[in-house]
Amino acid sequence: MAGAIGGMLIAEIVGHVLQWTGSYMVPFFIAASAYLVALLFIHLLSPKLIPAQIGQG
Amino acid sequence: MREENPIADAGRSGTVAVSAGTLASPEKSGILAGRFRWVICGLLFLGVTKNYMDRQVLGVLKGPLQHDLGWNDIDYGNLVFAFQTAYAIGMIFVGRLIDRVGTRIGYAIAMVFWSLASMGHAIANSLSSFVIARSALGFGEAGVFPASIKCVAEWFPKKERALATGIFNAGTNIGAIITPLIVPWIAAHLGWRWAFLLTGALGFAWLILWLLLYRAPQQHSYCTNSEREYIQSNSEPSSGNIKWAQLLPHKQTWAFAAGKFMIDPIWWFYLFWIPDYLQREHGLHLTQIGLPILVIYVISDLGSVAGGWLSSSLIRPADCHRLPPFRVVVRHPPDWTCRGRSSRLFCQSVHPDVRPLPIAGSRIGCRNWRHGRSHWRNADR
Repeated sequence: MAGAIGGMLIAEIVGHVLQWTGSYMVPFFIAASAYLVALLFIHLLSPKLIPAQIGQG
Repeated sequence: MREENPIADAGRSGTVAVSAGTLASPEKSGILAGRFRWVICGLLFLGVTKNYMDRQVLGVLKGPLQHDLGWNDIDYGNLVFAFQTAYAIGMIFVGRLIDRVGTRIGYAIAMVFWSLASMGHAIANSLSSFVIARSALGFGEAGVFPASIKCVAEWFPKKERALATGIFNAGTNIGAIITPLIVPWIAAHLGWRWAFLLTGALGFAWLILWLLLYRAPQQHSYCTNSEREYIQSNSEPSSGNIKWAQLLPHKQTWAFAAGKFMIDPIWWFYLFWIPDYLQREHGLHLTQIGLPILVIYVISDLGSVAGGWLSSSLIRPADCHRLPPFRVVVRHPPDWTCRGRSSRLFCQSVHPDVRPLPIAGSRIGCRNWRHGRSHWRNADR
């Protein structure tokens, strides 16, 4: 679901950026950096990636 | 690659099954005896392939459509936005529908609905009519993964589910490869309207196969008793209910969601914009984009298999702190599984008690989060 919402945002962003700049430079920059940013967020949220104990705590 | 063999097997079995159905009585269909579940898996693979073809036709035809209908890039972005929004809504409603009416009827309804929506693009003449067709397509297409996962849960024992999911999930890449190879040819010879019409109409060919071949294992005459017992083996008696609310307090949930939120859009970006990029920035003709896109998705698949293998090999159950950074593990009481409930969205994203599995369809790169479910396997396997 989070992915679908992200997909909605990227559609609008890419459409507008292309219209303004006429180039795929910015969308590819976003695409390339998204993995690093995601990695950073995951480490901030769950630094040691310890399994969640659902229904036990 | 060994990962490709099961796909080929599933495809072959599918063909055999059709002829077996017309020629021989079920008991005599020797080669398939006890293996009919892989025919079902082949059907799911074809369904997902068709699903991805429908959604990618628009991306491939972006250039001609903009030329014919006078859209700018914002208009096209809005069209993709409409699809994504309807898809998000569809994930909730279509999943529930399939739970209610069962997989056989539910998947058939979803397929007919989205195929008609896909064909509806052919008679659209304005941006608003495209938005309607596109929204209907997104809404219906959202049913494909809940339905497929539910079928796998019905037909496969727990230890084979990850493999079966990986196989049908490979249809996403196959669909994304086939479409830019075929659609430009149709558009060049018959016009873009026929491309929508013919791609959509494939759904009815699939529907015939589906209605002929799909039943629940208990009611299926091709399913031998020993296969039925095998499917029931090591499946857990009851599936507890995990509510969204139970997941929300966990940071791991948010880490996973944040990852999906940031990584999925990249997959969508590639799917809907790369054909245009190749034409616009590299001057390729519409009929020339098939090969580069094929290369992109083949490399993506190699990366996904390698990434699945790498992360699996990095994980040791005893030392979770050494988990590779791109994995989030959610552990829960062992009695919880996804069986039989397709509308629980989190089930689809966070597979129970998970470890990555390096099989076809496991994803790294832009697929890593999107189809997270396909490369997790049960740790107790």
